[in-house]
Amino acid sequence: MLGLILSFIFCVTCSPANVMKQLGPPLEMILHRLSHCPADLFEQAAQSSRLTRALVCDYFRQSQPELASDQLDALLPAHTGLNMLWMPMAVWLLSDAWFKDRPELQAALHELFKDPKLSALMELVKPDALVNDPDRREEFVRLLLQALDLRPAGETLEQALDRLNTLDSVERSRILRATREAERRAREVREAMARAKAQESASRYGE
Amino acid sequence: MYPELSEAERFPLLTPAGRQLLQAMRQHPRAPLWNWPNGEQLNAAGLARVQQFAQALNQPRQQSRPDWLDEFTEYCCHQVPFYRQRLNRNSSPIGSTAFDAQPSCAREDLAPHVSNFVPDDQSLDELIVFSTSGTTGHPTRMLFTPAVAACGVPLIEYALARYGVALPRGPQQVAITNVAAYKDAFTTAIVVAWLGEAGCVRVNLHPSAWRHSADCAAFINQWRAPVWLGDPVAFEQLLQIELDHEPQAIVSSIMHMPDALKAELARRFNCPVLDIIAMTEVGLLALRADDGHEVLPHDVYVEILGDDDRPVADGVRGEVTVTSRRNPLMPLVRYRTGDFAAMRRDGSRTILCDYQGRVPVLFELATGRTVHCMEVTRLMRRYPLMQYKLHQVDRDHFQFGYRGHVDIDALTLELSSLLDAPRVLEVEPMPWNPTRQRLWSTALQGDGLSDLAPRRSSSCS
Repeated sequence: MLGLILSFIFCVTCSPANVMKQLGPPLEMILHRLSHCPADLFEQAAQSSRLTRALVCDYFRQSQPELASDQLDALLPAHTGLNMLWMPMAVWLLSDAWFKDRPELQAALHELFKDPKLSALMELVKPDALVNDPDRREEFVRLLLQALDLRPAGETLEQALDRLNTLDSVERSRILRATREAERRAREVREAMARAKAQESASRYGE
Repeated sequence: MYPELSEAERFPLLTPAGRQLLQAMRQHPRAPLWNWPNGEQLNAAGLARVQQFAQALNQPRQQSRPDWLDEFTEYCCHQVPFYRQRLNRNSSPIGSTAFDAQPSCAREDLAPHVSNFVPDDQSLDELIVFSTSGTTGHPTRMLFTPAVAACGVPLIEYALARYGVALPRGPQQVAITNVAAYKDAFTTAIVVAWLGEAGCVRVNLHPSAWRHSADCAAFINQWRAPVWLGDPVAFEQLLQIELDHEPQAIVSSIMHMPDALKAELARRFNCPVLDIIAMTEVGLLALRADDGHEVLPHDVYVEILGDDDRPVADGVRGEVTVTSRRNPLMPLVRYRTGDFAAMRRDGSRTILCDYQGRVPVLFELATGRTVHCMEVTRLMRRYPLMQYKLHQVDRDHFQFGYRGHVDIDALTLELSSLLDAPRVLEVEPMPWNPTRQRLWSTALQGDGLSDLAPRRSSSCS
């Protein structure tokens, strides 16, 4: 069963959605920065989605002061709530000079905050884990880089994919759910077969 | 032997006239010792499905490749765990739900995980479990609905129609006498809803199945069924019985029918002898004709695949592989049957040429007794073996190979008893062998039927 799960993980996360063509910052550097994210940043954001929106809009206003309010709104998902809790940490990371010095990332940044995988992660992981849990910290950073079509400096595409697959909480959760469902159904069939009141209980014709 | 089903469970549509015939068959003073309290379990909805099946079966065929293949395969890839998992497995990426992109599967895939072949969206309320040994030595159980099991009758009738024979309707008579000839074979009497409650009796010609030896002929003569169904070994036995009537047709299945026996039966009983290919997985598959075995069902797509999983060219031998949507509880996509043939397509007809069927084996023992290979099969069904093989070295020496975790001491004891305690019975675990091999074999001269004539498979003209 483990082999099946791993093969599912490999297959699904190797989809060509984001191929991580470009080299991003060194992983250690960005992990280090995230680990120093002020706790009150995500704690306060957790209290108010409006604060999160304000944080994201401020970030874009700093780099692109010409963006109008409706353009800023378009950079964020329509629905708010749990799925926004990663955004303060993203803003904290993207405020690093490595990102600020790369205007070529603007197009990807405009799509970043609508990324479904980062939002889906928040359905499984508490916000503080993105900072305090080493695995979830690395998963978050790698997902964020992937959403920007980047991979950590010094890694090949295969290495980056392999590490991301290993850490992928959303996919792992989906597969575990699917596996549980499959096992439930298999048990149901086995029990129905055992219950079948009389084996060979109908005639066969020439078989 | 089995928990008794109530009459209402066995025959939900039973009428007073049907009950009268049922009782007349079962309570006949010269009836065999019944050991199989079965019934069709067919309700009105199930009978309607059989009627739909028969109607579709009798429609003219336009093409040999049905147009439902891709839609059916897509359904399987979404709803059936086995195909779904295979689709996603990285080690052999299929990447498509199109029929032509699917690899084959076989009994080896089915046997260990039967539940993997049951679609997620199918109800398990109506369930019939059949055991099957197959030709490859992988015993397994398969799930059916009563309606799917009952489709066997219209299929036989479809084959009989080629010879101008129709099964009778109504609870006034028995339509089919099904004969077996080995110890402990199932015996039963039922009424068939599709035939308006005409009867179907299954009798065992083995002496142990009767109270008195003369009862066998008397009981068969009593019902004068127009169609006899059985395997070549049983029909050879039937030649020894004094019967006072001739059927309209004899239908032989399960194992290869030797030409000489076929001719002898046709001469003795003055009727056509139909040689059919049938298997648990898809029921009646093909009827032997002059130019080969013609595939009959409309809802089974047959291909001949090579070792590389690709269809071979017409006329080239390969493994008979079926795709069947009849059984909603076990849809099959490119299922290798373990039998080999070449194929020829003739308009809408699909002909299997040089079909190599299962050869019946009779083990002649040192005690003078003969054991039918089906008796071995029956014994093995009681043990959860993955694979087995029985070879007879001489009358007093057998080799038995098996794969699976079973109480081997108990199995050895029972096998030895079945074979009348041979001087040597070698029992050894066998390695995993994905190649198909015969379940039963004997090094003795012939196999019990060979004295009639050398057998010959059908071949393409």
